[in-house]
Amino acid sequence: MMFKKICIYVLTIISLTNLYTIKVFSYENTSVKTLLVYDKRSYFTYDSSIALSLEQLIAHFPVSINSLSINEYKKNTLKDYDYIFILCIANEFNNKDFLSDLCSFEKNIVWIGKGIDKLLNCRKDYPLKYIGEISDITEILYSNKKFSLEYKKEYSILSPSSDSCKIYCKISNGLNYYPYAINHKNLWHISRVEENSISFYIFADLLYDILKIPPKNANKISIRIDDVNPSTDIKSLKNVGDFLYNEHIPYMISLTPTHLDNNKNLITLSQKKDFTEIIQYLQNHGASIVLNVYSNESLEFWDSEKIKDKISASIKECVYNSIYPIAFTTPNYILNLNSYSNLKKYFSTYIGSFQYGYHKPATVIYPYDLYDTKYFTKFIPENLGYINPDNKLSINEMLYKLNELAIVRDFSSGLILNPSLEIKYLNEIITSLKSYNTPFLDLKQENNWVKYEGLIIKSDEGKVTFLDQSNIFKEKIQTKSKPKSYISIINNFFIIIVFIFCLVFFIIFYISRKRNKKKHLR
Amino acid sequence: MVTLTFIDYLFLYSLASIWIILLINIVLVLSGYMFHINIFKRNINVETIEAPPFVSILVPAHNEEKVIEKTARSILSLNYPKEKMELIIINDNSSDNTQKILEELKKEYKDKNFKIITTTKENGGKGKSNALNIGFQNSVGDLIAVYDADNTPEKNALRYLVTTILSDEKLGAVIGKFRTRNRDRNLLTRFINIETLNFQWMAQAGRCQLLNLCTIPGTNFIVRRHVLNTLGGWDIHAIAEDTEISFRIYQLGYRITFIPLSVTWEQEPETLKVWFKQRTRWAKGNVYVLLKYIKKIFREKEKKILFDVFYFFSIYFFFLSSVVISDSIFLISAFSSIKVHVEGNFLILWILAYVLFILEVYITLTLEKGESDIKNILLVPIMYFTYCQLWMIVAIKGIYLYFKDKILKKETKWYKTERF
Repeated sequence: MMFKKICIYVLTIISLTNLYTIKVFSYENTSVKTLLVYDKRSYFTYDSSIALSLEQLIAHFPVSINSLSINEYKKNTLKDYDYIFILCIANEFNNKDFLSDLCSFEKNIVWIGKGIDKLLNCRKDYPLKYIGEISDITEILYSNKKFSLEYKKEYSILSPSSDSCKIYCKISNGLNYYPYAINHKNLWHISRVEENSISFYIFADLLYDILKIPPKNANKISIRIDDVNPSTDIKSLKNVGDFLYNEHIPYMISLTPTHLDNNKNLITLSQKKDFTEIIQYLQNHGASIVLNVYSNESLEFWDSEKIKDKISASIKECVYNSIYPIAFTTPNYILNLNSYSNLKKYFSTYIGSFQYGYHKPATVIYPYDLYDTKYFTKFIPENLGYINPDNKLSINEMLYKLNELAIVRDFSSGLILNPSLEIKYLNEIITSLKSYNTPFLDLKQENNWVKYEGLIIKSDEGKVTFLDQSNIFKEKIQTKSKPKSYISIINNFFIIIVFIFCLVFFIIFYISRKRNKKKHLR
Repeated sequence: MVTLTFIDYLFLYSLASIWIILLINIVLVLSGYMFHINIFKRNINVETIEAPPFVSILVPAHNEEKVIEKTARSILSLNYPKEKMELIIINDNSSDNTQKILEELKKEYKDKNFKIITTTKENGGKGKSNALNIGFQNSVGDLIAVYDADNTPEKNALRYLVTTILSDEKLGAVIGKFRTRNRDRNLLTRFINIETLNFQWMAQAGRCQLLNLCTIPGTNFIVRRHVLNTLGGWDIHAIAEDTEISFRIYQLGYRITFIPLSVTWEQEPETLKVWFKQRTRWAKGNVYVLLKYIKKIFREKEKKILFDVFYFFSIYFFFLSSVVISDSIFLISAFSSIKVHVEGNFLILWILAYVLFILEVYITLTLEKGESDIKNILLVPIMYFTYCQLWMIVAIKGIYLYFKDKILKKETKWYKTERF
């Protein structure tokens, strides 16, 4: 009976733990569907696509996102979605089917920009009145902070007529305050969102409230030493790496495996043993390696045909020298969107800023990680800028950007350092960053992979493993990303001791068993 | 560089204690084996004892109608001069036929020194320690031997104890070995049999060989009268009175040794419920003793006590907490995203520790005739995952009950093991 009771207790504990686990897994595998409908992809004169940017932003959350131009909308499309985001830039939402569907849509509507009067005309139950467009807005107030806004942008304004409307953010022209983000039941209105402005960050944060998804309290800061190549000053690089390691700060190194010197000679990792050793050393002392361009050659690298060969050569060059990149960093060159899609096949993780261009180059800076988009499996943004050793105001600029980012829940901030940065200056930067009490990203702790034709590099929970399934290299090279800890050494010592005594005990057992039974005690 | 979490530190604590316990057990097994080899070399002669001292044999009994007759007959048949021994059975508030059986036996053994002390409601029913004290007060022997009511000692058991204690004046007490009479009854009794052999050959013999140290097991032992007089008898508040008195004997500066040639056979629990109750009582009793002496650990001059206190502490708190913690971490990491960030080949160590455990037990089984048979060989690997895990629950419950009784100020009660 007692034994049965014990079994019941154990099973109960396991069941309760399972329920908790199921709850956790439910959060990760939500089936919330969102749709973004837009009249224009970009603001007039803008090179980036705000529609694309919003779509990417929503990809931070565990929801599915589709986008659609209003001109392509077909009747009854909305019924399959839980959230409809409407981006109205040019006030050209004249599709009657869409408006008809929207007027009877009972789930969540997020209207961004102009034209909400069309919805309010058919939905009299919303206690909101459309005021019009205001273009003299100078500041925005959110999360008890005030930020300046670029002048002469048009903001759609609503006026609430009930206390049931909740204003999440306000804008002001210095005289009056207006709602920027307002919510009544299933309707949200956001006056305007544009990339690379504080409104983008505010909208990014509001998405937690809109989608009703709790943050993971996973703010982080990443540090990357940029432009490390075989011509880099290894002494300075080691000093920077050692400093960060001694400060217990994990960091990344964007490595360019080959480099054209001033005489246009190609210098590879294999040719620079001292440089390779330093990279290996840093890899074992807190650094995660991120692959940069194969060479500082030219833009044609990003031609889709040549990417494959370049990636192959880069990875092989690294791996052959026991260096294991676990992500890719977007270079300073502008890619086209197809390039990202191509690179996605080989790298799970991109670090940097999202640069592309339809007609002209555009860069969009995100405040948090993005997952499983058309262009990335995982995108980790860098948004604190580059610390220019010659610009002593870099730290202030960095802190200003971090201050803006800090309004976003689960923000992911990234800083780029020069490998020759003075330690004294670096110390100032690190001290400033540490005051935010935000963890630093250790890329190796996350799940990342790099794959190319049977070569697989993976990282997870601090370990980096390499697999050569195609036997490109004659021997498998496996390494751990950290030096053996003392615990591991002591444990191995005990393994040897216990193993030896297992043998000794086996011998004693064998001998003792064979002994004269007369001599055995009763 | 990884920052260790709270879970990681807990894991490190459990890992460190497991390392230490592994080392201690290795040393104890080797020492126990050496002790066994040395026993053969000693050629102890028990045939003649010059001037055999008077021995009072105390047997506390509470509702022992099922076993007391066999026990009494066995003791009265011991190979020891009948005029130099007395059997005192303390019938401690029995409500069954124990009294009646004893009276019949007394009539039968008129020529033997056989006393029956029946306690009253006022002075009895307060536990084994109290019963032993009553028996001691009514005894006359220079040496006091103790047997449990379900024991059937072998003919020369007492001779070995007496011969050994007489061989060294520094010995305050000598303990013999106990075996499981009903070992083939069922799976539980087979496990108990293996466990008791392992305990005696590893923990007792090992400590004896290494440090001249062992703990009185509650039965089949002998102690000098003047030592008991100095100690004032047994501690009536202690459930594990045997362990408790061992510590005080050491405090007086005496030693206790182990003579495995002195053998008694006792009945072990045959059901899990009875076993659980018994072992919880032992665990609770040992916790009492441990906490009683740990407070004085830094003032204690007698190093033997320090080692034994540390040994018991390492088992009941150190090892127990580390096993609970490591099992919990295993379950948590299996069913959630919480992971341990400490690197190392812990699985290999665990496997080797398991193999070591098996081999340690196998060695102790080879020291007893007929015990390293195929049945026991097959049982030991299973024992780790079944019987041994139950000890965790026993220990936790024992600790819990101790503190519960302490807080509620409950008196020590006689919880007797059910007989079959």
